[in-house]
Amino acid sequence: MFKEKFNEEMQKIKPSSLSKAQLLEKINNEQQKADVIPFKRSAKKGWIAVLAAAVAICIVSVAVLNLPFFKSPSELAGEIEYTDGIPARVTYAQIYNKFSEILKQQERSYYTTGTDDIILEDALDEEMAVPDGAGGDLGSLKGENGTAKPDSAIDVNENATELYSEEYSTTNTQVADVDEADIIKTDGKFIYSVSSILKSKNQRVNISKAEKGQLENVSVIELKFNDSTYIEISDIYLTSKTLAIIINSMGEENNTILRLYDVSTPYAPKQKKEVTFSGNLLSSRLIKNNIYLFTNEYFYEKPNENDVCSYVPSVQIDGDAPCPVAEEDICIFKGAIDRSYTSVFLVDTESGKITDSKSTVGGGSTIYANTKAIYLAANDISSSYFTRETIDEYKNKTRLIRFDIKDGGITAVAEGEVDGTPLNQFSMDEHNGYFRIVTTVTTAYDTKNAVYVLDSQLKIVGKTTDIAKGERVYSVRFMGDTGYFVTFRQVDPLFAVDLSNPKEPKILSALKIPGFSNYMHPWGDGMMLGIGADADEKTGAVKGIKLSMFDISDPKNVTEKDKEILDILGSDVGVEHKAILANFNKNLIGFAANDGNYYLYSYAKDKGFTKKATLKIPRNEDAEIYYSYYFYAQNTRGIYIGDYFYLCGPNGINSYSLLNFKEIDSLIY
Amino acid sequence: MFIFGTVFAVKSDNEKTIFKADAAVAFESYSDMVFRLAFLRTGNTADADDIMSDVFLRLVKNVHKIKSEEHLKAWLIRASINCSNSYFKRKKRINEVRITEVDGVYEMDENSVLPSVLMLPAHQKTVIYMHYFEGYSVEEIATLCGTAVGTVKSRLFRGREALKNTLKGEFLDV
Repeated sequence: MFKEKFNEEMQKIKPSSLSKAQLLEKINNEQQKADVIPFKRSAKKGWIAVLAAAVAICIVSVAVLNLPFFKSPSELAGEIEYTDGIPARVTYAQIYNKFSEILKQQERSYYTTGTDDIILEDALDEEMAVPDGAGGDLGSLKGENGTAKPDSAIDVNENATELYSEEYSTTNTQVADVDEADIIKTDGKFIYSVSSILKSKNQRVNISKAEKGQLENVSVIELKFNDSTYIEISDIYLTSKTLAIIINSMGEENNTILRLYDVSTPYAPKQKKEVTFSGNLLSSRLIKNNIYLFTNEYFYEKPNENDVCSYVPSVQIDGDAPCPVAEEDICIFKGAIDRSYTSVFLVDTESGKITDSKSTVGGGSTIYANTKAIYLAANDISSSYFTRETIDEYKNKTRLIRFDIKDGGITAVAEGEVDGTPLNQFSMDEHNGYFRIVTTVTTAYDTKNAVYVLDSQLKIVGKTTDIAKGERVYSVRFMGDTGYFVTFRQVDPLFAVDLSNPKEPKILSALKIPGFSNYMHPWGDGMMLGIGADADEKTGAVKGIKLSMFDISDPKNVTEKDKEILDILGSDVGVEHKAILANFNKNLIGFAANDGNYYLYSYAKDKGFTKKATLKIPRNEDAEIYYSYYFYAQNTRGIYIGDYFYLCGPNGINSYSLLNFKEIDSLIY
Repeated sequence: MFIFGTVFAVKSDNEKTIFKADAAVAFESYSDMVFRLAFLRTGNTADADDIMSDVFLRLVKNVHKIKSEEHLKAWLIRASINCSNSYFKRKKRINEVRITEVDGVYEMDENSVLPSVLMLPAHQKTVIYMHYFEGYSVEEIATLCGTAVGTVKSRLFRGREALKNTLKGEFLDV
């Protein structure tokens, strides 16, 4: 009686009368809007008649005389050419062809259900009538902004030291001189903080003056958008004069918005520029005064030959019409098999101009950037998406693309591929011209881990595979010629890999200790700090937060010199490296835990870890929305300016003296 | 040459004027079906609401292309499937949601079969729904979804096999 039972239960599944009524109203409104312009549609039909006649002539003449100039641009486009794997300059028509080809491939594949777009056949008869030059009359991004290189960068730090004598902490980043966006930034005098990043209409950046522990709210930047768009501040950047706010906007289409504010007088911030990028925010970096913003965009709809923006990412500056990324800035590598892009835009924070951009076909997932190059790692879905039948041969792969950024522009230089997927940005590193990556390879039945060394052309020169079968990578840190990584299932082996000979990466040691580290940080000479979770040796069950200090002075014999275990469940401490404060010179280790407290430790070789303070994360008890401790832990940062420590939570800042951790001031916003 | 072109245009024009679909009327008749298809994909009513609204707002834009009542229904089924696919892509989720929020929303007894159906891969549950609830034959489903008959057959077969493994005694007649 399955059928009866199933039907009876399905009958109960109905949209609520409220949502039905709302939607019906919307449909009627939309229909009225559509009815207002019937003139255009009937006019179009007349055109179809005329154009169809013309097309008929064309078809016949092409068939008889084979005249090339009657072909549409996409037919004329031809194949994309490659030299040494680097694609030659493409045209919009070639991209259109590539996308149509991928679409067909996806439709054929077993995995997708039906066609990816329903108006496929229906759209054909209208489209064949109007094949005008693809994008010919559209101003492209490059055309509008020119190919100007960024202005000579102003050295932020020099200016800063002149103005402010006190030392202050910066965001915990992977690579020196490459800043990463975060929710709290300071210039040593003012603290800029994103006040709430939960779903809320009030998205704010608070600017607070912090002077010798005294806090004062000087101004607030409140973002206003229309009701149909739901926005969320992702991160901010701060340069000497400019505050950059990166916003996720989720309306009819997902966009990423970059707003630049002049904060030379923090009391009265002024909006300088607003740039809207199509697509979701992937990541960003700040090098000197230039922001590299990465977006991912997937095109669900069938590409429309007449609308370049239907298959090419676009940018809107200060609310102008969207203009697509220029043809010469799009590269389609041979491995690209998805109708999506990862784009990188180079924005000069001083002028707000987009000085360069590159879009590569195929979605990226992880970014590694230093001051000379950007590496983009993308999950290669070809190995899983289209050949699902051959599950036995399944293996995840990562496509790598290298961009050169040393001359101020962005150039796509090489493409490569390795097995497995990197965990995060720390899984990748560049040293002495060689790129190293640690991946976890997942097959249908097992996982194992691998280390690859690639040259500047992203060709594999050395590798060590089949490490720690059945486990996955939890954290990685490269330090010069040695790489350290932690895998985990029950006990945590910390591997040290010698990479001094790129052709032969060698595992030097594997230290087995209970638990795992989510984040590893170099700690002075010959030491390394690990922050993660403690685990039961027998069952692998996660128990509490664990701090480890590893002695790495001899990579062949890595030892866990000291450890500290906190009985707080929170295996995710350290997953967000920006939430960790780790400063060797100040001897401060700070992190927020899931119990609503911020913990500060210091470390000495003879004494081990010493707890310096347990600080309560400031919270607004009157706030309308109740946030969980987990939310607080994720969105709290500890910073210091001079001799004062500031604990910045999602809706307040507390200040303490670094000497005795007595609370000085508190600011709730 | 010229005559050929004119005839072609007139014919396509005529075809379009025979049937005139109305999105509001279509909504009254088919909203439940679209909602159910979306619910099967997502496993929760909030997402299903979103997808339903996506589908019908798309219909408003494309309503002039609908040629017949059958075409309308097929269009809506395919739009529901496609909108669910893109919805997941947009939400950065995996294509199958293995949750049964059903319990919270609808009163289910312990013999309920719906949770088992919701656990199936997306394309299998769509076929199961179309076959058992909408009463379509394998050939009809193939036409509606734009897939090969063999594909529908194998999906139905695999879906049934999977259900037999999870369902208890009296429902083994799947």
